[in-house]
Amino acid sequence: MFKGRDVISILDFTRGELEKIFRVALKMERIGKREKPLLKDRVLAAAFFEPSTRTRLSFEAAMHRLGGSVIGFSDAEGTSLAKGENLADTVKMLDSYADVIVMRHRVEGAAKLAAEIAEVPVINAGDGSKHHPTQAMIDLYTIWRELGRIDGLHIALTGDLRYGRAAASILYALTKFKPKRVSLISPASLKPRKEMGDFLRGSKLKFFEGENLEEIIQDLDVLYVTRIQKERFPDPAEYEKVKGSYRIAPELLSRAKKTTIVLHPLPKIDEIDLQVDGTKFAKYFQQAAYGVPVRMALLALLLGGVR
Amino acid sequence: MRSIVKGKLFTSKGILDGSILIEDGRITRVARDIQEQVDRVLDYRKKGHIVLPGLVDMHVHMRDFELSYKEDFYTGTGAAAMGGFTVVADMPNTKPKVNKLAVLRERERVAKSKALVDYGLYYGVPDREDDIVDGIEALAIGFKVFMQHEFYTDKRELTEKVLEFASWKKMLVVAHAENPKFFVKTQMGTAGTPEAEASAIKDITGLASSYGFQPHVTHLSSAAGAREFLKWKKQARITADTCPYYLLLSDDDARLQGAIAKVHPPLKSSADAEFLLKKLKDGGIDAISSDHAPHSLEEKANLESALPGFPGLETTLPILLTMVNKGLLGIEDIARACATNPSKNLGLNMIGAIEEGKIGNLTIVDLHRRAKIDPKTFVSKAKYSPFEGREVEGMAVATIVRGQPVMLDGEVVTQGGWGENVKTYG
Repeated sequence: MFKGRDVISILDFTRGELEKIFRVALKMERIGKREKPLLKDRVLAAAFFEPSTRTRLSFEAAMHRLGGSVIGFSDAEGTSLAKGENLADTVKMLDSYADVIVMRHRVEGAAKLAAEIAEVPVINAGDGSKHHPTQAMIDLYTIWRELGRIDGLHIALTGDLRYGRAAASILYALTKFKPKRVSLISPASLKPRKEMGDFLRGSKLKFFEGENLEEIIQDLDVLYVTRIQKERFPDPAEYEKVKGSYRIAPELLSRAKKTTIVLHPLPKIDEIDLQVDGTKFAKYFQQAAYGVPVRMALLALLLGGVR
Repeated sequence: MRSIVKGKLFTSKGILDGSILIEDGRITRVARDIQEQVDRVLDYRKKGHIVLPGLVDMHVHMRDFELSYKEDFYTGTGAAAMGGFTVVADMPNTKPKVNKLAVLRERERVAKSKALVDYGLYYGVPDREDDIVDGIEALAIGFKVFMQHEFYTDKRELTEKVLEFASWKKMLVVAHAENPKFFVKTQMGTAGTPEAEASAIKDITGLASSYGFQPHVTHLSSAAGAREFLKWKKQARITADTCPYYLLLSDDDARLQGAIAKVHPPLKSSADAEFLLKKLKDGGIDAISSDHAPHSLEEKANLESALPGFPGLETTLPILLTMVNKGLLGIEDIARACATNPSKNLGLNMIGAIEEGKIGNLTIVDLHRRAKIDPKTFVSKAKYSPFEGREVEGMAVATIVRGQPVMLDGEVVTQGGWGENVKTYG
């Protein structure tokens, strides 16, 4: 059952539920703007205590496309929060105005707290460093949509697997499926945290940690690239060295299967060569575009617009 | 409304004698000869006349709002009609700026009430993140990024949000590409150099690859800029336009003409002009825009403080056709750079070619009509030009927008308000 439910962590969902979201999202891709006002007269409150343009806008667009309307703020400055109103009071106020609250907050656990206070569903649009469930849904949807399945695939994650929220949330999500193998390729200093390693070992996911992408490239179905940030390295020379060895270039992909897809949560800097953009491997721009139909599907399910 | 236009038609199969049937604004038939009862027949089966797909100018400043003393939508689109342009895309650096949804809506209302030809509206980088909102894409055709103020400054973060939004909405991003790090002091004030252009082109291409938007570099002015652009064009999806004065005028003209010829980016050397012309001809540079930038004459008085830019809509086509007559360009270069490519760049598949199913926008030119450029006769409120006094051969004799003649034989023949936002093309 989706109706009225909170969306705090991807782990709260079963595989069957995620697949249901995918099937509805596929239908949503075909719905033009305001063609089907499934959520007419419904109101979404966007509570962005921390700014995030893409996430906020794609929720707004999703709601508009379903015929609903949007209230809220995109930055805590300028709201009564800046004047000292506490989170609970803000949530109570939004709860009385809106049919669903989409929340982004710097502090881990903020969305869960809001969900306990609000009677309407709360969707976590990112809190702390681990949870961003709708991003994980979009990532999985892109794989499912482009390759037809998630089970049996060899999926590699590269880049910063330690501090990046995107990598953590897709990893949690993958434990719901049965990929052939998940390869975690990163420099030693950016390997997943111990907490994540323990979690993965406790799951049934077949995963492998390594530092060399070249060794596995020919077997990959999905290459999920994240950004390596300079600030993570005390020594700039070390950063330059690492950066070069994790750069995705056409030469590397020339050894990949024809059907391999490259994903990235965007924006990318130079971790993917710009010559890759125009190749059939590149699905990251498409991945960004799937944000709206996936969020439409989730909103429609939570608010009873579809069953 | 049903009309037939007859003449030498510029089509993808070459120049053919034929007729075009336009019904309710759309081309419904293109054939050797069409004999039907219609409301109007425009017969241009005359020597030297060619029927081109309607010309499109990707870069104009219609001003209006509080800057109506410089130009407004009626005079600006009137100038477009006189110059043979059926669609103009209007820049957002107005007063107030078109960078809030409410202002964009007001812009649409004003444009709709006054315009003679069809128009696109660009949205500018806002001052607050809250002004990047769902709904911009319903009225705006793309974004304009003025990199020296909006990227190489503390506005960069906000600009990147605009770029992210543009990627996601699949909207065009038009960049004025100059990096102020390479600006120099001149008699005309601070001015861009070829390095400034090349550096900014490199940066906008990198950003396009980061976010996935479609970049367009407007008013390429230097060989170095063009080379940098062409280098990236080989591996990435990027387009560019240049303006007639960058092909024909140089810093010598700038010195001679002073404030009138002051423009931003500034005129470069004649070697730069030659290179740009070569690259326009071989298709490397995609399009030509006028950067129609009217100011009052008082604002063009003093060299150092003069505002950059001058009107261009009424000189662009006569100047280009004169180049055709001199053998410097082919008529196909004009059709490509002023109609087909700008339509494509703006994502308007419904225009840019004379084909069944397309919108009935046409520009009819007489290749041999002669005149002298006389700014006093401009419909634009800005009555000066760096091309003043030039002998030209060739000009538009009819501008047809969605089947409706807007200019015939040098006269505006429609009421303001006929023009529509190109977003209505579907």
